[in-house]
Amino acid sequence: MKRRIICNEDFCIGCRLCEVHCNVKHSKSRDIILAYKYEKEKEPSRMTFEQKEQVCGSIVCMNCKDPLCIKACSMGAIKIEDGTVIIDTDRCVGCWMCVMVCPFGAIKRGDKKAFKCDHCHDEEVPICVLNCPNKALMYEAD
Amino acid sequence: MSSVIPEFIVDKNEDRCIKCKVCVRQCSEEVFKYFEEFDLIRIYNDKCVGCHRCEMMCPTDALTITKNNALYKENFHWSSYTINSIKKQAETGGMILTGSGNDKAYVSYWDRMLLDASQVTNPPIDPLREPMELRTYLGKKPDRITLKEENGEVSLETKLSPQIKLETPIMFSAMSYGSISLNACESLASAASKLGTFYNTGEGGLHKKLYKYGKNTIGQIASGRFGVDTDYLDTCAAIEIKIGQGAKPGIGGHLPGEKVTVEISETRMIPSGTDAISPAPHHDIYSIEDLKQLISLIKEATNYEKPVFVKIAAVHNSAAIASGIVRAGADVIVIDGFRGGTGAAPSVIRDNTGIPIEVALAVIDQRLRDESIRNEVSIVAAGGIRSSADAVKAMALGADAVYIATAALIAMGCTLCQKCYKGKCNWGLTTQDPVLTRRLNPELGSQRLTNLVNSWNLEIKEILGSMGINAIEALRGNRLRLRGVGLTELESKILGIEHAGM
Amino acid sequence: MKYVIIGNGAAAIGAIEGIRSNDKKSEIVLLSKENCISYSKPQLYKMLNEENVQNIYYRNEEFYTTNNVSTILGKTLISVDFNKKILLLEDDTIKYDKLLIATGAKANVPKLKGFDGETYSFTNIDEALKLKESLVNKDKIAVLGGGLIGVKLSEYLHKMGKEVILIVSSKGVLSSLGDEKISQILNNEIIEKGVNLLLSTKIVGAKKIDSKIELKLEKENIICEAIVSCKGVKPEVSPFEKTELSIDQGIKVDDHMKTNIDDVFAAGDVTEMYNSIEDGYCNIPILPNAYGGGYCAGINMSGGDAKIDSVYPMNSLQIFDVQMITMGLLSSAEKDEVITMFDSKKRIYRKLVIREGKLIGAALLGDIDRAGILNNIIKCNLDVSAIKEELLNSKINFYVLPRNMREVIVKSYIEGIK
Repeated sequence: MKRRIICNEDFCIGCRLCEVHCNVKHSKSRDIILAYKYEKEKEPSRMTFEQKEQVCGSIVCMNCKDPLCIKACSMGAIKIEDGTVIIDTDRCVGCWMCVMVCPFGAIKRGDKKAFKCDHCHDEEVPICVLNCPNKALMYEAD
Repeated sequence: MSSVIPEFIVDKNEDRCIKCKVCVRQCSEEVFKYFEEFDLIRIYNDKCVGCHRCEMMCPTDALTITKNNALYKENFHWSSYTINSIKKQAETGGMILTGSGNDKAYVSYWDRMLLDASQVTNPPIDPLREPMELRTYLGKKPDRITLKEENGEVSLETKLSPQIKLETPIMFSAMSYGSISLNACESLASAASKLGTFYNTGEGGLHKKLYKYGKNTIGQIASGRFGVDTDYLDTCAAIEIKIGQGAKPGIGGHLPGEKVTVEISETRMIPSGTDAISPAPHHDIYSIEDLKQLISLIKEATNYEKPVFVKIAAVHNSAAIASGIVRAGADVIVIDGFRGGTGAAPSVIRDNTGIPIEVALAVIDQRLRDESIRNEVSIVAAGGIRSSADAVKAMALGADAVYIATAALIAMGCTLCQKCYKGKCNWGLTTQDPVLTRRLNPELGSQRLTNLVNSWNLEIKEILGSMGINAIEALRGNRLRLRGVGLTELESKILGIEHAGM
Repeated sequence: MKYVIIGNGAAAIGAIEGIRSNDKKSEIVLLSKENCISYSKPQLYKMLNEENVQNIYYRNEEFYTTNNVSTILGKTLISVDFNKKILLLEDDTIKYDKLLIATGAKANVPKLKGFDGETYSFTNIDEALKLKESLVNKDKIAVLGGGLIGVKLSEYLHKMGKEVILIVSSKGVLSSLGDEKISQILNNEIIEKGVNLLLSTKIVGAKKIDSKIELKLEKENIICEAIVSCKGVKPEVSPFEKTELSIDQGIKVDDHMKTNIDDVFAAGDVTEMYNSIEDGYCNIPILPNAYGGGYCAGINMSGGDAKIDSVYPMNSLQIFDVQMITMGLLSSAEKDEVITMFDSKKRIYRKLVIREGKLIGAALLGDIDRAGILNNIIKCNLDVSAIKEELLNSKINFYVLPRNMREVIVKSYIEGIK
């Protein structure tokens, strides 16, 4: 199954709550106030909010059909599982070849490891889509 | 220095604030400003209009908007609102503008009327077990009908006037593209089409994108004649001539040039950037005879296939005017009460002009009955219908259907901050700013409107069931099922209802 | 159908995965000179201070069995009879139906005049282990060559506590990139961190004196204990030299990874391919090209139809504390427009090379986040005239592209590019 999170920029209101909820989901406590105010370890959001003048939207890993990151990974640490592109953090050495090729800039640099949207594979609907107040983020699975 | 004291206080709980800055990004009034250097969200209370967008968007509930209770020393005669209005006028020399409907503490007759219910002698009906009919037809009904029988099949011989079919007696009232955003228009149009009812274009013309909802569109023709051409007449299912509006009887409309975007100018068929001014009167209508001419003209232009509505504001002599409108050939009369909303109106007019819809409706229905012309017209009540109960009471008072607009806006996000005229609506409703209009996804807007009307439908069926009625038709004008509470004898008489206990 | 793959690097692995995406059953034989399962060449440096070779494996150990591949490791290919479709080994022959040549590249080790001792190189695991062993009791190492391997190796040796002399013939390290500013920043970084960097220095010869080596340079002589030559790599084409296979710098392949001989494909560092930016055939020995080329070859070998994306050089590297990504052409021609941005405080450098409105090269130093967006602009040959300043000066942002372009890009990647 292929999972995709697509942003309809006609309706993105630029609130950036997708980033907030993504951060909470990937925090230790999964509690918004604890995650933001008390937890020490913080990663940048997996979601990237983009804005140019009046146009805005959020972008994450698109689960490309033929992902360039898999081809570029020097450690063979990226693979497709069940249609979702997954980075094996045990194997990742932070060479950033994936950052170099991802056409959406969706792969982020963490502490010596690359990370990206995991499409909340433990949830039925990704948390950002669920919390998008204007349904600008759409979730497609096929 | 402004001498106007802030009306609202924005309180941020620092223990809960995670500095996600959603408030900074969402407030179009710029109440919040983030200073990166100090990692501080600075709040400017004086800019707050009390729309509560920030409160609703804040993911940690860190924000609370409260009324500035001690705005001025309490004074029964000189309210804080009055004092602030005087100060504003002293500062600017202009009229005080406002949006939405009259918010003053006039009596609401809906709240002084109670519905009857069946007990023992006339059993109630369970709407979950038995069919309930909400379908309504709007249009002129014949004095009598003749049937013919051919080969055992019975059919109608009388030729009926054009009718529109409503699957629910609730329609969306006139709001123009210009006063509200295209996304809001599309939400209304799409919801009307899903619900099998109608929405009204206001005097904003019909955007090309909305032509596909033509079967559920009532096209308005008002004093500015904006956006009217043959395509418009052909596409809309019915045509409404707007004489007046409940929120501002006797006052025209004014869409400032900066709101007349390219798309609005194309839809209204006026140059972009110019003010769209609807005169207070129709300059070709100064009498019932003139009105009759326009009605005939529209009927001729639409091949006598579409019902023609005439909308008036509820004013002192509404009943006599209504009689004239029927005689001028209208198929439907719309009466808009003084609680009806507006995108912009002088406060002094909105708050002091017109009469309650309940009263106007009752007297018009009575007058038309007395003149034996009630069947020649359908009556639509508009202006401040807040709930299914109000709608049912309106129908018992004589309405065929009701129009809702403020309730529809609230369903789409509006919090009645009454700042529609500023064009900075934080909910993307009464604005043309592309950053703000995006805030209403028509898919969501349409869904919420559909939900609202569907839930009212359920409630109406429940009410009808409790009265032992199984069709909305059987309720119309059935004032016996209403009782007044706390009404004077005169009020009861005007409303045509008995007091509770009678 | 019997597929034979010569080599065991990224291209070979790509080919296996490409073939298996189409053909789950047929026999695959993999022949490799190295007696070791596939490992990541860019991570070879780790072998100097890591005990466990598993840490740089490119795929896990079960990869070959899961993909039903029989391996012949540690055997050298002598030659190929392309007419009879037979590979000749020292003591065996192998028949093939479809052949992939992915022999990679080998170190270019120049002869030093008057030197009969060992000159180490560093391009594969055997060389790495040999070097590691010899380093145990040596402290002063001369590294020849300021290319990527030389610089990275110097960094690692330095981190191991060795005294490193990096001898570079040009004016700066990584001069082949064609960007003086980058060379200059890296020169400073390397010197600052304590590597003895000798620039514009040619080696005249060398002499062994007991356990030490005297390295003769043009102006001076220096003493060291070991020499590692990092003077680049060249395609490993020796088994095919006397055959009809078309070879220039490397084995010439088309955009379907086919060679001039039927049923013979080649991929990876051994090939030369058409580079649209340079408008000529080039050998581009980088991992993404190797894997991508191998995968494409694998699909075509097994009856599919895949075309390789346009190829051009690109790399992501970290030298001491400097993080950088380069792509495309950085050495500009006269007709090109070059725009640069340098923030000395934040140590951020960005350079864009634009030809006829199109981006053809980019370098990002310091801030490399979202570099792929630029890379895709190069790849898709998009016109950047209107947005070049923004690309240069702001954080890289997908939304700098106009909406219609973005929609095309999203669609093409979601649906797969053909």
